[in-house]
Amino acid sequence: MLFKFEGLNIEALASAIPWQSEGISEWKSFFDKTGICQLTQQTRITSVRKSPYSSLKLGTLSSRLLYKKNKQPDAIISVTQTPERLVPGNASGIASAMGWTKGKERAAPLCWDLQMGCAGMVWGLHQAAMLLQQDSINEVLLVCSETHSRLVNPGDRATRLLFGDGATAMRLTKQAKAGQEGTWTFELGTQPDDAGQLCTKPDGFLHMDGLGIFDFAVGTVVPALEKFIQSNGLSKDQISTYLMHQASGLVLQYMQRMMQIPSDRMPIALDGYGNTGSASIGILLAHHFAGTSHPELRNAIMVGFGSGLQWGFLKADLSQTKIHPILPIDSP
Amino acid sequence: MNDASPQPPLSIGSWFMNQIQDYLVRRSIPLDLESGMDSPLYGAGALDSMQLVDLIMFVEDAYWADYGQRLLLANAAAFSAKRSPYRTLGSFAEFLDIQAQIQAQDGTPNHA
Repeated sequence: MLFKFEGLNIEALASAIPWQSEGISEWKSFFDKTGICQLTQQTRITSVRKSPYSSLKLGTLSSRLLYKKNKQPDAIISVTQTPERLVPGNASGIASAMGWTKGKERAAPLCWDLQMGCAGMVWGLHQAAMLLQQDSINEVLLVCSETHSRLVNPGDRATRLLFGDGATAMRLTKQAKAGQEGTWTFELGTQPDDAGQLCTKPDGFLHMDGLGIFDFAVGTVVPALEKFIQSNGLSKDQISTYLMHQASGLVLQYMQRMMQIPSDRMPIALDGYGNTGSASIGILLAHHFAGTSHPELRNAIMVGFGSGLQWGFLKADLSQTKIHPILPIDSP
Repeated sequence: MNDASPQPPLSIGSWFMNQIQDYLVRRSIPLDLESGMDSPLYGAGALDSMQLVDLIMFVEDAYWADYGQRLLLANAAAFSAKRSPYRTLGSFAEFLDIQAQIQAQDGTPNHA
């Protein structure tokens, strides 16, 4: 389903990751050594972040990089599948931690929680875009924060070597800058995961059917993405940068091959982070594009896909977005 | 992959067997090929899903290098087929042969 909004802006973006990680040496001591080497070559992940902190704390620390004292958004949207607690969700916790409680002259921000995974950032941006259509909403904070390592079965190679923890926050406004394209075009879709290709089970752990997810990526996401590009009146060559959800090296490599995307237009940031779910596109941006001017992001597409099974694409101009360098929490 | 042969082999089956053997050596995977083209390739006791995708990309690269045709062998129809074309060496070789013909006629790699 296609959606279009005008005059919107991703003002700034900040990401936070825990300093703590685990990688090949820990995995080799737990699993078969040869298998680990093969798998890390295929996933392009030799270590992932493993947070001692909650998704709420990671999300709050990212948000702090975006706001000076006495400034606050009109609404907060939190996207996570691993909230610090189920009730209340992370959004009101972030408002509280940021000190954005009701005052004499202002109300606290409206708080939304979206329980979504790898497509969650794009879906969260869509929610923000709808809010920003209202006169009373001028700024939205979107926070995507995951601690998937807590859902991983330590004995399951497929998930333990893949998923990592991290957070990204974005300040979204309705004031496109001079010379900036303020049109946002979305495509959102769902193909219900009746086979449980990526799901938690009664044992409390996250289970993944790798081939099922791969099938979804190449059989559903790629054709939908090609159609989305066409519906924007563009060719694949006219997309300046493909900002893909960092699913796994093998999946991304095959999608790139199918769409014949040059490597320099499809950046990767998997190694050292892992698949960080809804935060991954933000961490990708912070890893490659920290700064304030990015001509290569003028005609960018964000491509989220994964659990659900859901996908979300956003074509937007991020060339003037202020992107903070990744904040490593607790670094020595 | 295509280290020595200046001419592509005549039989797709023997070419494919060579690629599988090469792949298994390079990745240090101890897969039993004693049953020849009937040897199980994907599923219980054979390659796991990550290895299968890795193999598919390996074969695509080798085919391009030896035959000059870019193929896409991972497609939705193949994954969702009740009898997976990747289940044995023989079924994969047959699938490869058919896909090569279809995609040559289309002029582009086949997505779905």
